[in-house]
Amino acid sequence: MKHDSQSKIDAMKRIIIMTAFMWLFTQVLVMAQESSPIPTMTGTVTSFVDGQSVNIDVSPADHRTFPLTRILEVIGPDGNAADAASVTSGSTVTLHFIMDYGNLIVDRILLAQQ
Amino acid sequence: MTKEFHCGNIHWARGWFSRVVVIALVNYLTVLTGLATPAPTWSFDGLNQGPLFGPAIPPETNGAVGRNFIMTPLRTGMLIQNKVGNPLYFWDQGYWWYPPFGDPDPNGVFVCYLATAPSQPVVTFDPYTNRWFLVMVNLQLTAGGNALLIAVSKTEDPSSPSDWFRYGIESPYLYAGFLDRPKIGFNGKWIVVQTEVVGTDPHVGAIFVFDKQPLLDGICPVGTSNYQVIGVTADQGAHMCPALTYDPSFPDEFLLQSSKTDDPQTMTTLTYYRIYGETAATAQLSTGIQVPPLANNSWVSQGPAAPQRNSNALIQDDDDRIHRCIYRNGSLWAAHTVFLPVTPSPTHSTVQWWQIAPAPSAAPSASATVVQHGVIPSGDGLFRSYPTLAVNANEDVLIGYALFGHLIYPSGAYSFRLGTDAPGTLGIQEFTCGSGMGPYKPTSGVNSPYPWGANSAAVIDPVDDRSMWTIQEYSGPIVTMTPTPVTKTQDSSTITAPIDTFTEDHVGAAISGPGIPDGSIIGEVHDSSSADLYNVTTGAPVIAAASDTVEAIIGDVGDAPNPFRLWATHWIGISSDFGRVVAGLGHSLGQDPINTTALAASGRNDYGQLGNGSTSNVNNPVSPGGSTPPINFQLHSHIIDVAAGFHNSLAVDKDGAVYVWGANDAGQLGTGSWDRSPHSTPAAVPCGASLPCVGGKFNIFKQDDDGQPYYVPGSTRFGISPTRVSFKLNASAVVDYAGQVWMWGLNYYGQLGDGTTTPHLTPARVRYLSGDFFDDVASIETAPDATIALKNDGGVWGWGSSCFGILGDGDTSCPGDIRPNPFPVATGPGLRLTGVVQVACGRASDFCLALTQDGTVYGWGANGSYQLGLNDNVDRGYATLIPNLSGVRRVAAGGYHSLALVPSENGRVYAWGQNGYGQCGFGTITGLPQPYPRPMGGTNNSAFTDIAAGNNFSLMIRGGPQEVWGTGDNTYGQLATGNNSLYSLPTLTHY
Repeated sequence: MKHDSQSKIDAMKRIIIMTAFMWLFTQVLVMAQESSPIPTMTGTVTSFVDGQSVNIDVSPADHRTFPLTRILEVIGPDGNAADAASVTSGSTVTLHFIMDYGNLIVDRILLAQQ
Repeated sequence: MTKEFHCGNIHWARGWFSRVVVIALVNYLTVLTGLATPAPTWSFDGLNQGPLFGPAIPPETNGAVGRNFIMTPLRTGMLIQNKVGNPLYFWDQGYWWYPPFGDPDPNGVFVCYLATAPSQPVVTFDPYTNRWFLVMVNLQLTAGGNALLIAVSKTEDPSSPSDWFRYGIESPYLYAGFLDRPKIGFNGKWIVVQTEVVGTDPHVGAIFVFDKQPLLDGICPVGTSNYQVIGVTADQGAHMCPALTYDPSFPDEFLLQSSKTDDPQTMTTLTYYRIYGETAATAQLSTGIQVPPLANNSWVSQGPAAPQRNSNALIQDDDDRIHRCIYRNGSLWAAHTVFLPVTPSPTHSTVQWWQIAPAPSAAPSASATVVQHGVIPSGDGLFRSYPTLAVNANEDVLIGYALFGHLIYPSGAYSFRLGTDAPGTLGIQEFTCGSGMGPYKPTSGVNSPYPWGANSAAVIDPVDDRSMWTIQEYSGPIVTMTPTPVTKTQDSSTITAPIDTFTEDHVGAAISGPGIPDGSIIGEVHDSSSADLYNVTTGAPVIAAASDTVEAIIGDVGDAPNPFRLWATHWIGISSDFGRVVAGLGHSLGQDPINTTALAASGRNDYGQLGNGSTSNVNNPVSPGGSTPPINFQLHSHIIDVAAGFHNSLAVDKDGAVYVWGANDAGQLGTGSWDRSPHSTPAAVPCGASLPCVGGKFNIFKQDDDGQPYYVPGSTRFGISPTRVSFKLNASAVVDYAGQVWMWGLNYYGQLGDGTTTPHLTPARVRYLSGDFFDDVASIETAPDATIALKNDGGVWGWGSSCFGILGDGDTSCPGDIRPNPFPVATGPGLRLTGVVQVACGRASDFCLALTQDGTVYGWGANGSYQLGLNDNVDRGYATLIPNLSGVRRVAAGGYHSLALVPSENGRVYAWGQNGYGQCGFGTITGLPQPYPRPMGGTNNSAFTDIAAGNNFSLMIRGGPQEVWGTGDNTYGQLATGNNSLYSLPTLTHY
């Protein structure tokens, strides 16, 4: 009887420990999700069509194309709003994305000092 | 609450603006126009006359506001509503008071009187015991009939008769007169009721003093020493008003009186009395203490009846008795009707108000001081009467009253003063809190002048002791079919009195006779000798006597046998938070709760959208119109609504002028042209052929019964639907006084709603598909591809493109349905969205949120960023209930995120949708949108009273001492924090 009781206690301990691990794991996942930074990407503009898309070269071998939000904000090197015409081929930019319909879409382009 | 910061060279030391600036503005305002009245936060009907509720004339308007309920007890019945106006219970008065039907009390607490003819209700809410006190009189004039009825709720819930203890005290004046027109007061230990004793000549009065606690405990006072009736002689006066004492420790009870009798008198002062003692049984009435007369102040206690538009019939407009008296912070406050001028004779009524410091003792030699006093300016052709007054913890004052005049239908109105305003000053701007819907004509058998109101109520909201409410009567809808069309005619060949008016109510059979044109339809004959009024219902010709006044109309008048115009009552609630913030793409605007000539602005300014004459971004608030806030705002006008668009700002002042500044690339300035230059100075939208104007101001016309516009007198320019403005990417929208919508800007999807897809560089009115003007609009919201309107009936309409489902017509394709005229938003095929009290639409994406009366929220349109809070990213073509979200009072829609304010959770704000800049206030900046409503984080997510959402940022107002908090994108300084740092938790701003 004593042996059976000890087994039950051990089983309870295992369940408690497993539950604690599962809770901890869940929290880590939540924290990971909540701390997922908004992705940004820096590169050189190869083409830009206002209202449609921007192409940048992240590296010589890494060419990316992204759609633009309808309301695109362009920020100049001084931190002020800039005209979309400021984004030209060869501009060094940092793209800011939002996740819309599960896709990354550029909602802001930050122009670097040229 | 105090915080300190600097803006330019001015040191600001208050949540909004510095005290120094405020004082300067108060002086300025005193000279010019006074303080503007804050717009209502809540606006809905109370109890209205209808077929089920009887024709009681007048309704004896009254009401009170508790923590969770609003009670409207009228002569006909009692309505219990929640605090957004949703009706919960209606009780017939006779049913409510009659125990065999109304309450076989389950708790065994007896009802000590069987009331059979309850009348003249007056209710109040005691914030110290959280109980409702209701007093009425039983008007059955027989032995055992006439009685004082007093009821005390058992809890804060007044919902049903069984929730009350109900008592009756038989009149001690039987066979001498009957108790009439009760008024109620209280202090910490007593409930005090004063009544006239009508029938005695001259009138005497009676003061019932009840020990409060036994009434709260359900102990009938009859046969106990828990009450006393103090007789009041005619010499003392029959019209004393006991005070609502907002000091539970104050031992005495004040009563304030203007004229003593029902006889017309010229008055120069008030008199107050004081009840003192330990218990009700030992209470004593002091001698009357006269308030010192003021120099050059006198009035007449009774005067001429009030006129009304489109009718010869007049309206009774009160006398100078005081209906409600407040004792607070050592002062007595009251308002009453006065008739002016004294000489040669009164021509009209208006409202006089007082703050009186009574003497510290009840000694006969005691004297009082008038702290301040004012008279609402008159002489504008309007009559003001039946006022009641409320005073909150800040000593802000709300005065609600009836409003009459030749050019308006009988309405309710209110005026307001802040406690910080200069003594004796009161905002002269009136808001109408129930616009009359036609000439008032009660049921047959009631003669002109028609009885009105007999009372009203202005009350404090016990939740915050700052918000205030008022209920007023107004002329409501006609009860049966109305004649169409009608035409006014003049003829008097055999009729001495000219035919100079008509009303749509007057219908009947054809009339023939000398001097009456063929085809005339006679509605009514006013017999000049007896003033009797005859309705012609048989179809038989009626010939008017030469001495009669005939109101005749020509045309097809329908078949209504006896139409009359119902009365209605309307509640207006004013939040304690009179200021507001709005948020645009990259800038924000703050409306100062004290200095209403000023707006503060912060953030992006490349199009001049801050209106400060510059194009430089600002991260501390500045005032549009000048670098020295706030004096230089154009025209020094009182701003009543404001909107922040993408690159524009828009404001409307109390005179109806609309100001726009910022970009004009789509003709947003309404000048008839467009350009790409910044416009950094607020400019009024100019008058033009397509924009009716008066004195350079925006449209302030209403349509009369013939569809003709007429100018609305300045004092009633904003009514049940305060003017609202909205702004989208490339179009502007304004709701005018008549509830019609004016828009200008680009129109490629028909989003201007005028039936075309032609752009307009000057304002054009929105029309139904039938071509009629779209009207009865309460507010307007604009999304990128569509415009959404909330109507006063709680329905929601949209026009433009149905892209992403924004029109709520089931189509989510782009551009989808193009609807250049309004179309109702639906919750499903053929199911209109109803019961809505607020709509908010997205700035960068096509989605909307609708808050309903019961505090739930619907969402529809674009949902790629989970901005609808439905735990998925599927667009919705129909309005869809957002689960697990209730008790909401305000919603806000940002670029791709949403906010909801939940007062019942201590003012907590929920957020969902895009959070890439921390705009959801969770303490995180994440690329993963929040899929369902979740409370903002940190320790400061509480006590918020209003919210606004910009493209990627959120702003929240905290009540009491007003503060503006913000979170999210701050690239341009739009959070007004004095820096450009992003914040992911609510942070105190410099607004």
